[in-house]
Amino acid sequence: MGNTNGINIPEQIQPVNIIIGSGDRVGKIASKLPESLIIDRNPKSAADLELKGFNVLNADASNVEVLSKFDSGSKLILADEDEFNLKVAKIAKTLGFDVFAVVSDEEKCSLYEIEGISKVCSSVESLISSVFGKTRYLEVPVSDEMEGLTLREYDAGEDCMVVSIFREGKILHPFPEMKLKSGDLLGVVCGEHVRITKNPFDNILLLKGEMGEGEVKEAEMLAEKFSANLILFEKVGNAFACVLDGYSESFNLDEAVEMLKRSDELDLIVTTLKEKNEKILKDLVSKFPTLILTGKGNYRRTLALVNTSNPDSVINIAKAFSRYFGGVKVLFLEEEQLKHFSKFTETEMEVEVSKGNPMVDAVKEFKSGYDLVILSLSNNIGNIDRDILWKIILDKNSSVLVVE
Amino acid sequence: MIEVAGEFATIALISAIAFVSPIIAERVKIPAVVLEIVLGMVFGVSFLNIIQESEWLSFLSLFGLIFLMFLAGLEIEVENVLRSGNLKQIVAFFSLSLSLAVVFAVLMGFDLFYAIILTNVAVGVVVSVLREVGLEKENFGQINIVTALVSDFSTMFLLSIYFLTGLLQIAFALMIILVFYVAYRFGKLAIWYFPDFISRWFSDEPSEIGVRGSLAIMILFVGLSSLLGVEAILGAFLAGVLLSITFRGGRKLYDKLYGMGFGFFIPIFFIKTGSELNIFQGIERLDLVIILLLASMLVKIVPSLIFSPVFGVRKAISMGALQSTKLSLTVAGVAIAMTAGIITEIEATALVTFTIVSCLLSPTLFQYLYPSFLPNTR
Repeated sequence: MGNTNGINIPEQIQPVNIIIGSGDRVGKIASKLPESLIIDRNPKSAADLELKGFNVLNADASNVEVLSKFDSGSKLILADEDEFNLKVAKIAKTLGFDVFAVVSDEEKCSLYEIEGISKVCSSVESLISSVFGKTRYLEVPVSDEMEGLTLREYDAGEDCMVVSIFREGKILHPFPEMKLKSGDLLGVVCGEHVRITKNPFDNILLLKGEMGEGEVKEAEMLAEKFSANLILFEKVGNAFACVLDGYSESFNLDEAVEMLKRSDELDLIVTTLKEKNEKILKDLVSKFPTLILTGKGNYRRTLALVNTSNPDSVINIAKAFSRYFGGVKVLFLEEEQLKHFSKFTETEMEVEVSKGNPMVDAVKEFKSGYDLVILSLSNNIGNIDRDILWKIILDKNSSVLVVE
Repeated sequence: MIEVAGEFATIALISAIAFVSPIIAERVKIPAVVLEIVLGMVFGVSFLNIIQESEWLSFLSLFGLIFLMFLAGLEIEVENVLRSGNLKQIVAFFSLSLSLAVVFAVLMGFDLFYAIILTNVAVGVVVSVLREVGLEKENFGQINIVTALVSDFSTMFLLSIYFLTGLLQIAFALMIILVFYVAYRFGKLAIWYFPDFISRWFSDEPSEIGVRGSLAIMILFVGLSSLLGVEAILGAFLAGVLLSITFRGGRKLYDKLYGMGFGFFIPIFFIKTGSELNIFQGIERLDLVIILLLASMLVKIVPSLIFSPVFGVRKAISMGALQSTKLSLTVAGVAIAMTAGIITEIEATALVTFTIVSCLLSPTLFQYLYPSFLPNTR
């Protein structure tokens, strides 16, 4: 074990990943990341970790001389207490490290963001996926402390989800109310595509034409629920004024949407639609999913109509809404689409398949009363008549989120 | 009493023929419909003369024809036709084909009914052949299917209005189109406002409300056609199209209707038609059969060259050969034309003989001409 009392670090130690923190959590991270060095300020914990075979340095990383001994090309992972992490983060950024952090208290996320940390994660699993930067499969053992937790209560992190549970030699399909047992092994998948199902919207563009107060409130409610920025795009005469970070400028709508698409600034467009206009909706949806507002205060019941041969877009958004609002029903219009059923893990969504006439079943379900309907404009499954599809889109009783 | 027993015996025989026909047809690799007509001939006036004419049989046969036209309408997928990127070429193909057929009929001194028959195509056989060689999902297969649908729909419509006489009757015929349009709009409204009730049509309710409703619509249109003096087959066909374009799906209900139609009524129509044909009269007019075969190829292969920029000349010609296949609508048309006195019994026999040979020859010629079908054969 190295010691920094004299700040004497061997030359050969130039790890790919530097993990700062103490205890089991740090050990868990180090076991998943190759070529890691743990910097632990607690001598007892450092000794324990070393006994377990980890590469450990007992030092105080908030001392600038410690980190300055390392090459800034290493990835720095902060897994200590938040206050200590933030202290180290300040130093690390001045030294040019790429910094990742696992937060203990999610309310402090914004403080990390102020420090300009590359990625703030709420769990070890999502942190590992961020460090690797791609889809990754992990197996996480269930400890005694986790015994009795339901999958809904288990936090795999923003980028991760449990896809299987290994128990007593059997593989179980996960569902939200499933209780974990000590000794279970959780199969966890992490990656960007998982994040989309958990929090798909960072920036929402509000296209404000002739819009009522209720619709604006609905947009604000949505932004608040997903912790997203609401970018206002207001029609002024023939031009639009885009308000972003307090800065306002006139744009042509197409130019602005294209610009936002290029700069990867946007995830969702919210607007109102008074009458059928296939071209406008197609243009918007081809760039971003578009929500037609009707002034809903909440989405207590959501219907996802899987009327597309490429259902991932509908299913992923349905999963996100299920997570934040609950009460989501997915209606598959063809039995063949049931193969996508395996994607419904961790979330509590009701799934149904049309057994009779897909169009009639879709209308019947829609008429049973939903606050939000998610559907695809491609409409190439289920043979829903275009007029009927537009009746659903323009119906004042439900907001409709249209994907491509 | 003896008469009734005889009628039952005839129907029992026809049912037996209907049962064994698909089994034998599968083994000898010919369409079951062809075998039904041939077996009808064997048990009919040509040879054994066992199948006797009766009111029961005539009614069941007529109902079979109506059912056949209804199911033909149900098969029409308007959306597919509209979505096709080659719609202009398909319309040009049909127009040229019909023009050539009219020229042929005029030059030969035939009734224009022949032109309609020559322009028609058996969609069912086209789809089956394309499925057999694994082309139904490819661009070539899709264009072939849509072309066949357009030709079938158009000739079906032409055939129906051909038997009309006078402006008043044509006006009445147009009225049924108007009724069709109103029913279509009403159907869409019913789906939107009463989805709970409409969904019962497609459920597994013991009362089979969907089957009852579909048959009621079919018979309503047939009745309306009769009232307006239009051919019953047009009413049945429009009823089928109406269900197809209004509901746009619902395999379970359609399967039940197919089961009823192809399981009982439609074979009776084909077997009875076969039983009434005297094959020896057909052989007497072998020259007519050969002329019709050549003409049917010509009126399809020449227009098919429109598609040579898309597929190349050989594939385009093979498409023409496949599109010349005739079957059910031709037989139905012959039956109506004979009743209407447009063709003689000998001509009718020759036309049915031509139909049978055509549905065996055309797919074979297609398979010979299509350059690379073999590697795809399932």
